[in-house]
Amino acid sequence: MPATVEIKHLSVSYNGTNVVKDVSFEMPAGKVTAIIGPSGCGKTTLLRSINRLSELTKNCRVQGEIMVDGENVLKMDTVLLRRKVGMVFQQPNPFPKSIKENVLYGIKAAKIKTDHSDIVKSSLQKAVLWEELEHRLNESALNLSIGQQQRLCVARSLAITPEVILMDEPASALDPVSTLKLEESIQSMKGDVTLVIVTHNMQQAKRVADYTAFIYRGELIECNETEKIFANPDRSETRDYLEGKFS
Amino acid sequence: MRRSWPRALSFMLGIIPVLLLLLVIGVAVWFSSLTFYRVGWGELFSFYYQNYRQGGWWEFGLLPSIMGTLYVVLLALAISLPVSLAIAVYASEYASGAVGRVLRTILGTLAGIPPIIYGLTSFIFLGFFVSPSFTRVKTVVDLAAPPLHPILDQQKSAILGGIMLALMIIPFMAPLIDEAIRNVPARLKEASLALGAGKWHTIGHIILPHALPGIIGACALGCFKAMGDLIIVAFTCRSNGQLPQPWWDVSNLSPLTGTIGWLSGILYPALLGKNDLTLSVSYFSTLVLLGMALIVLGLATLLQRWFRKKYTA
Amino acid sequence: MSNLFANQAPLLRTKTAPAAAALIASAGIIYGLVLCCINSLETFAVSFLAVLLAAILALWTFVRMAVKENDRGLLVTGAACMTAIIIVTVMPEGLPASFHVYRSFVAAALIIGLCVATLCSAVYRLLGSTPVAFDNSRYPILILPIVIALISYGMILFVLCLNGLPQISWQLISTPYDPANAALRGILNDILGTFMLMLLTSIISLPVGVGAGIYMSEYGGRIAGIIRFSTMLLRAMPVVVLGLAAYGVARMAYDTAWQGILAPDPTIMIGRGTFLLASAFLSLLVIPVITRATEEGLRSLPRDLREGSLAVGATEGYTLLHVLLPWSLPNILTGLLLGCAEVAGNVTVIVLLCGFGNYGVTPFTEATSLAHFIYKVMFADRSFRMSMGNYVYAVSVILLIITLGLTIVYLVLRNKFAERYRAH
Ligand SMILES: Nc1ncnc2c1ncn2[C@@H]1O[C@H](COP(=O)(O)OP(=O)(O)OP(=O)(O)O)[C@@H](O)[C@H]1O
Ligand SMILES: [Mg+2]
Repeated sequence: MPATVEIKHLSVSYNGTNVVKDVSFEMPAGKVTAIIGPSGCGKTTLLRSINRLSELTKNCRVQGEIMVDGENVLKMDTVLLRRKVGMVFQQPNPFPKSIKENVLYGIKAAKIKTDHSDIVKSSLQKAVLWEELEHRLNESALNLSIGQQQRLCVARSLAITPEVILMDEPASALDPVSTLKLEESIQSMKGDVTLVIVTHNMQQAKRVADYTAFIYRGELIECNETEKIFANPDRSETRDYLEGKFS
Repeated sequence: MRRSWPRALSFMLGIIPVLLLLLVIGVAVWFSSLTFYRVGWGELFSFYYQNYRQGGWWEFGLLPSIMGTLYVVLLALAISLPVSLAIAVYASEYASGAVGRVLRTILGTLAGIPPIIYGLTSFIFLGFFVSPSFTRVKTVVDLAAPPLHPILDQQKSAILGGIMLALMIIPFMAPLIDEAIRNVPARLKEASLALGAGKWHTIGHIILPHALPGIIGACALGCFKAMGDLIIVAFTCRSNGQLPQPWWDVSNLSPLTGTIGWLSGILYPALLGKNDLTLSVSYFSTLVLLGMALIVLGLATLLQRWFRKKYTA
Repeated sequence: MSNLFANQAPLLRTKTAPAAAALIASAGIIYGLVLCCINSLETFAVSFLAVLLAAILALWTFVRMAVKENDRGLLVTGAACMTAIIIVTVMPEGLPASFHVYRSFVAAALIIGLCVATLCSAVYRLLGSTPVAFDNSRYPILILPIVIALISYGMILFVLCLNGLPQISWQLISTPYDPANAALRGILNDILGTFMLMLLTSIISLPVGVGAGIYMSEYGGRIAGIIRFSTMLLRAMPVVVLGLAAYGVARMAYDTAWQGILAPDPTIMIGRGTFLLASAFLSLLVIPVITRATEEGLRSLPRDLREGSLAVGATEGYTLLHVLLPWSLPNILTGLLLGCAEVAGNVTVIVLLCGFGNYGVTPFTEATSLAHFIYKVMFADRSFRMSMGNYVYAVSVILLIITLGLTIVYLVLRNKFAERYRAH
């Protein structure tokens, strides 16, 4: 079941300097929301505070409310939260284990008893990886190409049926073909899960996202349907950014 | 190749440890040469060790002592590894920054306690494992009036030795493991947490396997320290070099270092400079010990390499 | 895909059962520790274990009824309890006595392990059976060994101070020792000797260690490999090997040209060595430390600093003296502090070389040190024990002040320079 993510008056600071400033917007259930913005504007910070990975950074403070499926994230059990809200990182980071173990990692950590081979198959299929890897399931995941590794990471987070998946520039380390495959897998997930994807690639945002949010210097400038943002943005900063006047 | 004075100078200085190492091994071989033709290999690697001090008749089976070293070192590791792991995991994953720092500082300081201090105070721990003759007696050690002799021979036990050696090596092992844990890439840890694995699961399945080379290195270091220590062993283990009676009573074993101390006269000064053969056998025993250390070193290096290969692409 | 978490167990609401279990388990841990210390208590172990087993079974039946989940923990706990009872009760009296030592050890270990496991599960339930509660409920597993270890170290230090501090007096510290003169019963020789050993060892190992470190990290090649291998061997070398080798060298030095340098006057016992010889062998412990510190320091040197120096036309020697060495000097010096602490505390290497130090403390007289004082009292010399035995704890405290002082200074300095050497 996909869940809505609502962000209300979120501020995040490192050592007292505000990096995300009073951001409020909503990511609708089952849709793809892209977050764009120049480097260092706080996209990663925003994303990491949704699944509370920000707590691993000692000097990071989060204020405000983040609601996943109507529940305040800051009041949830972090482990349960992260089972609901999966994450794919900028650099592919598979575990030094076999492909199968990588996919099943979350299931085993949660001690769920289900049919493992079914889950491996369906997760890999959704990540457009099943055909390539069907016969290599017991090989080490470190032997895969970078693109495959990244899709394996997608499959890995899909395996525990999250309601939301956060993707932090998932294609930044990939070549064009791998990027297309990744987008294909994003398309195949649509509707099953709420997707939040940070990207520097405008074309990619245009291709995959239903909604787009533009963040600049920690503030939300605009959040709207993707066609609207790209065709006719409300704010001049957004237009300038999309036209490449600054970065 | 251009020759420059820094190169020449550092070469001359750098070669000194190599020469000293050769000197050490050379002296040990030179002094043990008597053993080679007065005591046969068959006798050296047998279980029969006898010394008749007055009669001057000796038999030098080293196997009981080798067994003793294995037992004491393994016991020391079995105690110190879990404790060091607990300390390292607690300091780097569970404790808040300040508590972790305090714990690290305490351990770093404890590393300065000399081995002989552990030996001298080992009587405190006698209460833990009273030796056979005291079994049924409640041992209450008077801390304010410690014995002025080393622990009585009947009270000594390899278990006590293992405990004291473990206490000695923990402050050296824990920081190494701690460092290995902190060097585990944050991205793997984050990936595991982001998949909904708890902290404990992440430690067991990601962090510790990845820190394994470091943990093995720490164990090897602990091994070397425990193996070569003579002074704690002298205070705590029976040093008669014989197979224990009954044979399975491992608390009665003497490690190789204890036998070396006995034969060379370190622990039995009456023998010092009197008997060339016992001295020679003690030099031979140090060579055996060195061989054991080399085996540990080789094994540790192999395992480390294997695990490194496994955990990096 | 349907949600996998849909039919997970409901959370347990009641807290009384786990709270009771936690209490029993804590009591059990304390009991196990006491059992370790006082073996004769083992007779009570049986009844305790029986009560514990009954209590755990009862509690867990209750908990299971409430939770309706089958808990593997129950089986394990029950089995461990049964084993402990069997071990403690079934052991016949006629066995060799030392077996009873193992018996109480095994019983204590089982009780402690069992109670820690119970405590963890109880805390898990108390905290609400959530995954985060699971993580937090593992604290006892980590804390218990740490607490036991720290208590042990605390006891060692406490006993030393209890017995040693009252004995320390100015007279003890300021009087040298002379076996022939009953009025001279102090430890000045040993204190000076310890510092002499540290000084000479530093003088020997500093250039050698730094040279080896520089050669390895700057030049490489086959010889660097050999040097690296031998410092690795030195690190792995059991200390007793060095001790006997030092004794061997001292014996060989007699009646040769080396006699005045390595071995003192022949009227003293054959095999005794000078401070110089002792330091030479002690430096084998320190050289690997300094080598590693040098290498670490050089590796962390920012690239542009070195290349910048060479680029402006500085010679290799100039770069070494003005860039490389100043950069890694703090690292080397802190390494040396650690080495000195080791030198002050080590007996095994110098055990056969040392005498009483009554011939003066110069590089070419018979060696002595504080640590060796303890050895002499405890093992070597009966008359020495008669005259000086009472001071053995005072000497230990003084020795400890020196070594712990050095390690503390090391820690402080290292923290200060940690930032600088972090990146490489
Ligand atoms: N651990 C940290 N401590 C202090 N400041 C940090 C930390 N992490 C990030 N920052 C600062 O927070 C700001 C936002 O960082 P963030 O990583 O969220 O940017 P981003 O939008 O993801 O950039 P990019 O597109 O380059 O990934 C930056 O100015 C960064 O310097
Ligand atoms: Mg980013």
